[in-house]
Amino acid sequence: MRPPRTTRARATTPAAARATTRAAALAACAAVLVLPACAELPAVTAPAAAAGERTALVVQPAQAARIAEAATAALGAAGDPAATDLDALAARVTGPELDLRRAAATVAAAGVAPPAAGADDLDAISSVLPRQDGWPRWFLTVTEPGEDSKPSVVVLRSPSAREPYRVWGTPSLLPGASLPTTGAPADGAAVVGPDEDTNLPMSPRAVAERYADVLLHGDDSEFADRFTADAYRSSVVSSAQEQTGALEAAGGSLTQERDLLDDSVVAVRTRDGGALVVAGYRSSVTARGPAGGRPGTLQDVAAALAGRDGDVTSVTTVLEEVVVFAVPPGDGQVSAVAVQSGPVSVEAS
Amino acid sequence: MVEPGPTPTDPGETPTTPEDHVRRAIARLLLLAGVGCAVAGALLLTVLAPPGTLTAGVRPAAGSVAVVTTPGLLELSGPAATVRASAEDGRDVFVGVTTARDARAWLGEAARTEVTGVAGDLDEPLARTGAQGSGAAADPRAADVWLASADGPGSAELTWDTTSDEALDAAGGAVAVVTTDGTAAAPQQVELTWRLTGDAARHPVAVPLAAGGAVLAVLGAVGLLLHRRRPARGSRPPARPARQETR
Repeated sequence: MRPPRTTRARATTPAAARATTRAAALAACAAVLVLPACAELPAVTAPAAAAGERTALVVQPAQAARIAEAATAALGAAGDPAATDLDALAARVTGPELDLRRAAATVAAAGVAPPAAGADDLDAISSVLPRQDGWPRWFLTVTEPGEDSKPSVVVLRSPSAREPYRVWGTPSLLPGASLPTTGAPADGAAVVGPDEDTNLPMSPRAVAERYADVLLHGDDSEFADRFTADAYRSSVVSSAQEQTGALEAAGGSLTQERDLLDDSVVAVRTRDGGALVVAGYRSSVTARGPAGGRPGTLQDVAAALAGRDGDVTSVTTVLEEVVVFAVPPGDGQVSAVAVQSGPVSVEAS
Repeated sequence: MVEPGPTPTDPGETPTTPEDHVRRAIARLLLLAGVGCAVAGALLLTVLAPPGTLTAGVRPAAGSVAVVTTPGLLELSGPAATVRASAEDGRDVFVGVTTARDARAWLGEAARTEVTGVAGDLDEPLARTGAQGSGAAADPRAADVWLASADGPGSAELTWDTTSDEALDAAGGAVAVVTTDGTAAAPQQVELTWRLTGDAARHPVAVPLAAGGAVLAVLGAVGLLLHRRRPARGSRPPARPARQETR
């Protein structure tokens, strides 16, 4: 007799359940063992190209701040010119700034108060970071006012990737002058080549050369009206005129030369389309007394640099200058907005 | 004495059908599979989860004065990458991060080992490397190309936050450079460590497996409750014997 269906169903269900249990357990074990092996290592993704393929900044803003700190430490260690370790200073200072500080150390060593040096504390309130590939590189920081109560424009330069940025110059803002606005530090500023004059009244190199001519010839320079009047130009021109008049009246003479320092002209585009230009000069001023005249004496600083102070008939003073210009867009007048200047050597005979 | 007789069938109880057995089998299958999946998912999320960090060791090639990472490697995983290096002879070790553009300029033609990626699996990752160049570089401590740096006698460690930055991307991204003094042999022990995040930090199917398993288990349990096995008629307990009255 065929068993009731219910009896048969009850007989097969435990077997199916056991089979189901086994299958589920096997599936779970397989999943646990196999699935972890499926987790993959992340892959390297190359950085996306920047939008617009803009040239990178020479340094990142945080990097610029750290470089300024290192330079501040070096300048701080050289705070007393009489005790300056010039070799250590050269690790973070170069160009006109180093020459001027060497001269200050020489003067101080002779027991004479040296001319005021540039900024020692490079606590930056702003930076101008050019967008540029390759080396040499440079950037500017604008510092809080120092002892002269004027903000300084600190020029830092690096000749190669393996060498640090060094303080090249610390020109102070001239009275009433202000720096043209450039891009925010994080945005950077486009570099203007020394001979580029797109949308500018003249190229950066021409600005530097023509301003030198104006300093030598004053209002007689053919470029005099291309530059606005400024305190430095006025003092240099009037001082030269006074000395020339005095020496010539006594039968002597005063001669001047002013040359651009090698590779010293650098510039960036300002926000208004103009340019901010930095240039360095080496100038020499030679004063000669009248032939057969009575020998004169040198002032303290000149005597300390010359190593003598009396019986002098001819004196050649070498100065170094760093000038920052604001060049307007279009065809306006160029303005010198910051200047650093001082004697670096004196020869007397 | 009266013998207890068979109890009549409860008029409200329906007999168990073959379909009920099939439903109960399906419910059991769902419950077991669900529990299995949920347990598997839980295990994958816990004890069998991938390691929290990924560390790849680098052996500099002979003659290399520096180890440099390829652009994008520091951003391999997580919000930061840590670079550790040590020199067996106790020499000063330098670890710096700079842009790819500046690293190329600083290295020049110097002999270096470039880490181009990580191979193998999460438990035993291997750094993929290649050797390039010849000659020496220079003391890295004299340069200003570093976005961040660390150095010390015998070992150095630097953690770099790998936040994306347009300015860095414009310079080719950030890379790490490990060296001693730029002229001597590179540190022999270099490790790169990342905190794993995203798919690398947990198995991608772990959560779906656990959640899906829980749903299946609930469905199976509900199915079993709805199709409970009724007691068979023949297995009912005997009725209480009728009370015998003696007159």
